[in-house]
Amino acid sequence: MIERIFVDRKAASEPLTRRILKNSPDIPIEFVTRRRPIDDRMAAAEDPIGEGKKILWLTRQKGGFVKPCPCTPKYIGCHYFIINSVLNCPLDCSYCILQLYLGPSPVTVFVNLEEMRRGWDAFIRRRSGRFFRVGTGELGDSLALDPLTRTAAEFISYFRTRPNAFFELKTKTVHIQGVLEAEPAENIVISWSLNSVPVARREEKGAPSVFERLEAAREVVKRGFPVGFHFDPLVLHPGWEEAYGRIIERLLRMIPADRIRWISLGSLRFSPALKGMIEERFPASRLPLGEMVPGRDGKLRYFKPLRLELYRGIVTALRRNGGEGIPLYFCMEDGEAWQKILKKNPGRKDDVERALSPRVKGSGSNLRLY
Amino acid sequence: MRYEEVSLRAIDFRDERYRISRGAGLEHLMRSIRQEGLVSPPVVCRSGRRYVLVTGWKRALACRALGFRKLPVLITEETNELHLLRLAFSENGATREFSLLEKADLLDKLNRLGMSVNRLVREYLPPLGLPATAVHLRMMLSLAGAHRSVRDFVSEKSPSPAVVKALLGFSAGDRRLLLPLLRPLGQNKQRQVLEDLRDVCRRDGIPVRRLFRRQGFQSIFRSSRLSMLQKAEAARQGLKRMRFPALNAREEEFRSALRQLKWPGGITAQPSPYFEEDHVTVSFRMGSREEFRAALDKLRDIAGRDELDALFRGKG
Ligand code: SF4
Repeated sequence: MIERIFVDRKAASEPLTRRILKNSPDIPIEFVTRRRPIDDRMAAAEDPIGEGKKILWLTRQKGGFVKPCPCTPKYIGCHYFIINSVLNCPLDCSYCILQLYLGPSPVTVFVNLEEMRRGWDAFIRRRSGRFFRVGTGELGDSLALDPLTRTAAEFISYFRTRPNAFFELKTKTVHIQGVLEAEPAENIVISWSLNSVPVARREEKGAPSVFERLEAAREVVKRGFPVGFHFDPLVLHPGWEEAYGRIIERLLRMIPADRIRWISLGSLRFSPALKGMIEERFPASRLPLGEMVPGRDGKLRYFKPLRLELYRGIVTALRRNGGEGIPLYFCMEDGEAWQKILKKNPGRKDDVERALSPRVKGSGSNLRLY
Repeated sequence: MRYEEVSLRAIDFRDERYRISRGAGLEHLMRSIRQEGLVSPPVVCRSGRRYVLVTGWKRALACRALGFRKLPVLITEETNELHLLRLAFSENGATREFSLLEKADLLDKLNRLGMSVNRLVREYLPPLGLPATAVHLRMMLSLAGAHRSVRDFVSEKSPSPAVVKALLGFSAGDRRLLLPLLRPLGQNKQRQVLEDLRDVCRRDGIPVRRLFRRQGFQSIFRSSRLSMLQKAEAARQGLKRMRFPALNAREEEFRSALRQLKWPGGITAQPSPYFEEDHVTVSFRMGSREEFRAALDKLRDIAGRDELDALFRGKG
């Protein structure tokens, strides 16, 4: 968790900076003109990446306020856009791609919200009339810092009046206070990454238990928001079928299926470089011991028949527990997986986008967007 | 520094405090000294009544081998051991690449002289071409302190840092079992053996020794028919099968389907890499219309047989 805050002097007068500092009275603060002291601090640590996760860096973002999600080429992505309001995450999941993608890096909050909002306005104008999904949870956890930033409510109130956007806050935490204080809307989806109990316990350092996450999701649904879930990364481990089955059963007992906007499935995958990093930073992790082979994009994935068996088990459990109507999609899988497991082949990103929005566009939907 | 000619007997060759170079082969240097003389004198410091070499170890050894009685040297008044070692480092580093073992020994010496882990990581690993992480420093220090057999292996075979790192991840006893297996293999295969072995032992919770006592490995190790290279290769294959059982089963299924079909020689059937994609590539060469027709006839015959489906099975 955050142990020290560094404030970029150029960002010191931003209202969000002041709010964060007010909300963290017990954390030591340093005002700096450059990032150098942060880099020195990380470099001096035994585990520079772990050290970065203890540092909060408040600064301004210079551009690129909305970007397409960098889905793996050669596999089918889902036409997702990301808002980089936060970079890096105070949680420490062994499989997290950010370790490799960002390297040693402080948890960064971009505090120039007004400017960022203007950037989002411009992006939304360019996509007017076209549905798109957008979220803040690709380069960090959307709610992990919300007790300090209290930005979730602001994002929600911005996007609830932009009906062609499906805005997603994606988290593993239970920091839902800000969400509960906001006015719900059907185009605002709060989503949780879920896993089996043993995987979450062993591989998701700093994250609340899966049951706590489900409790938080129930609260959010009660408040009126639709929710989403990400079973990602799905991990093969002894007893995986029962372990995931139990979570799915609990999930569908606690959350009405018609309030679940989507569930994504993604099997464990990492580049050889990330595998090395997991072995170094998490020597007790069992993830690198799976039967993983290089895919077309060079990333390691479970040998395909094992992967398909894993997906089939999860989809069967979802259907068995009353989730057959919930839109499902794969994260970074090829057409064969879609075809064999979901009995459809989206082929292109746009098709995934359409598959996830049938209740929004031209389908006699009764969905109200705000 | 003062220039002087000192008796070679006054130099304490047993004191290797500042020695970095490990390479053998002085012949080239001896020839050059014989022809041109010693162009650049070694640097020494005093130690009691004798001298300790700070730089120029190879030059001094070459002069001794040539039977010189006196050695031209530069005598430094510096007494701080850390400063002297850094001098040796910068002089050596300016003229040549260090071997992995030399780098390990240098870091170990600096560490023993009290240089902090932070400084070593930040100031020494990058110029030595190593990633600036504490993990890499630990690996290098472990190499410096490794058993002679490991050091000899590294010195002779110049394995990649990745191989050395994987090897050092095993206990000293396991390393001794592994070295004869690694020696005949190339770098990629060495790494594969080490990683597969480590993963299988961790996954199944068995120590290396017990794994190697299994029948399959024992019959390889005890075979009098197999050369060392063949034994290493067979052990590598065995480990790979254990590490990737489902992939191995599928490969075996594919091969058996080809056998059942009596797949014709000269036509190859290749699954996609790791069976990731749902297709098989068939290829053959032809030099004439007749050869082309003959290959197609054989394939047409295969296309009518039920066993063909087994080539595409296992895809879930
Ligand atoms: S919660 Fe997400 S962003 Fe944070 S460490 Fe885990 S995987 Fe990475």
